[in-house]
Amino acid sequence: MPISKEHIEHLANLARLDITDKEKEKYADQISSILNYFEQLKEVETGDVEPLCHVFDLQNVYREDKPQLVCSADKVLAEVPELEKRQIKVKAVFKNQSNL
Amino acid sequence: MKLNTLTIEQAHKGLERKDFSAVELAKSCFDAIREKDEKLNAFITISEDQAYQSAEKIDKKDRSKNKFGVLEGIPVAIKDNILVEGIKATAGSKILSTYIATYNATAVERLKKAGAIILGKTNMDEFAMGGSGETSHFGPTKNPSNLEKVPGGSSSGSVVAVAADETIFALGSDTGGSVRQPASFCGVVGFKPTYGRVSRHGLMAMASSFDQIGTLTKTVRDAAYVFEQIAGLDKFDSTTAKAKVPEADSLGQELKGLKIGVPKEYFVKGMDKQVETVVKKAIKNLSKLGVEIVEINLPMTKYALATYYILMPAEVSSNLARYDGVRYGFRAEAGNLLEMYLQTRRQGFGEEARRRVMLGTYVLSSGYYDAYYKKAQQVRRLIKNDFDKAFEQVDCIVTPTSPTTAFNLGEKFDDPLTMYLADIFTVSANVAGLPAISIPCGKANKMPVGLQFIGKYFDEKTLFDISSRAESIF
Repeated sequence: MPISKEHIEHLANLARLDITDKEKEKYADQISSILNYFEQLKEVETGDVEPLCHVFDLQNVYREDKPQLVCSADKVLAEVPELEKRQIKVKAVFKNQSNL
Repeated sequence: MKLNTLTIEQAHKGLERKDFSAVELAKSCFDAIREKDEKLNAFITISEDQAYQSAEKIDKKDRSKNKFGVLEGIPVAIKDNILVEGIKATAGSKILSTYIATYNATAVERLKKAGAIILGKTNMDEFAMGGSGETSHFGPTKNPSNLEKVPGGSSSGSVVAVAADETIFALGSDTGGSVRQPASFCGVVGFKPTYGRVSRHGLMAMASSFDQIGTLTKTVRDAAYVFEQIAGLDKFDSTTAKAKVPEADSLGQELKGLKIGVPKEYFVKGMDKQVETVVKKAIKNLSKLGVEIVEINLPMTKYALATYYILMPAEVSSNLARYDGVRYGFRAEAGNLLEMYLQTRRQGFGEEARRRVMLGTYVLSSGYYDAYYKKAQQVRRLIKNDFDKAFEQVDCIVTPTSPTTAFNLGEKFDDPLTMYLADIFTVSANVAGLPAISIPCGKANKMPVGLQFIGKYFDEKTLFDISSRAESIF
């Protein structure tokens, strides 16, 4: 099934990927041919076969809700690109932040 | 004999007898890295100081009190998507090019406890996405048998480090064949355990229902030694299994009476003729081991690759959402938050990662979910049922690991679908969660060829028994 450039744009937006016009065309072609390859699954009679999301029928595994030190907070915070007073800092979410 | 060329078993004996020290053993590996790695590009990070410190500790240890463990003082290289505390972990991506791991993966923790010496972190396809080692932000790894050829992927660096004797063994990860396919291309032993055997805690998630940490070694017995140390229940990964882990020392039992199945669906057109000849001859030779070779059917085989390439990107698109420039890794400068996300992911992710995120987003998006994602999950069950049925008849299945030998660098880079076909014989074991191992079985086109054995769930013991005897006759 061919996929349009507009559809690629929509997907890129959903996935928070910024792509160029040239890439849109390239991805549209490549993803179309991959989707075409997927078409063969239509031959398979699946009827009411239960979808398999995990190879073993796992049950929830619980643990006691007890706080414990698993790794150092300082080390974790050291990896943050921008910190202020041990808080993770990001750019404004809203445009008119100054008016808030 | 150069120490770096030893197997785990040989190195262990040498260390135990004090023929050489752990420091000398590590040094021989670092010498090999210095000599060869500029050309091969197997390593992203070398942790030489830490390695020597650990090796010195092993050498100074009073051995009269405790048994000298099989991995004590043995050098290991770790794929760069597996965390080693305090050492950079990039997963071959620009987006993590500055990231220092804040904790140890469970498998690494267990290796350290067992006394293994970590030499460094190995190159790989970005976030384990690729079958050639070429999608790494840090440049391609080269095949030691021929520098013009790819080593396979995605555990390219781990495989090459073992093949070129830059380490004694290595850890990799296998989501669709990323340990076995490059092992086949480079002529080493690549082993993927049953899903749930080795904790995924500290392994960067690619496709969580398929991912499994595997081993790269020079022999099957070595794989069993490493497996024994890293496998088992882990409270940090709720998918880990309680099943008993086989002891490496019990390996090598009589194979008489065992049945090995050859699925005819694995010998299809499009396969390299020379590879086919080598693999068929190897399978014929297996009968010398006293096993019975029977033809079996796995009719769903032809759908495994499409199933995998729907479900895997779906999981990828979700797992890679965490790389957003907020809490760790690379962050691009931008005016607002949305722009920051877009720029970070545009500059931080390579092409294949972006392609798979898009593909995954597509198959999960409204209107396509049933046609692709749900359908693939249904076929996944049918593929598993196929294997369940086959294993009622046979103890183990044998197939080629890959339809070809290593291809040229750049040859398939711009054609994703052709690249995906390199995984055609390995993905089924991940789709069904079964254990599988690739061992060298000869050469075609002057390059190594791998033979794959697929075992029953949690029956790595039979897999090791058969493949260790097989490797002795090839």
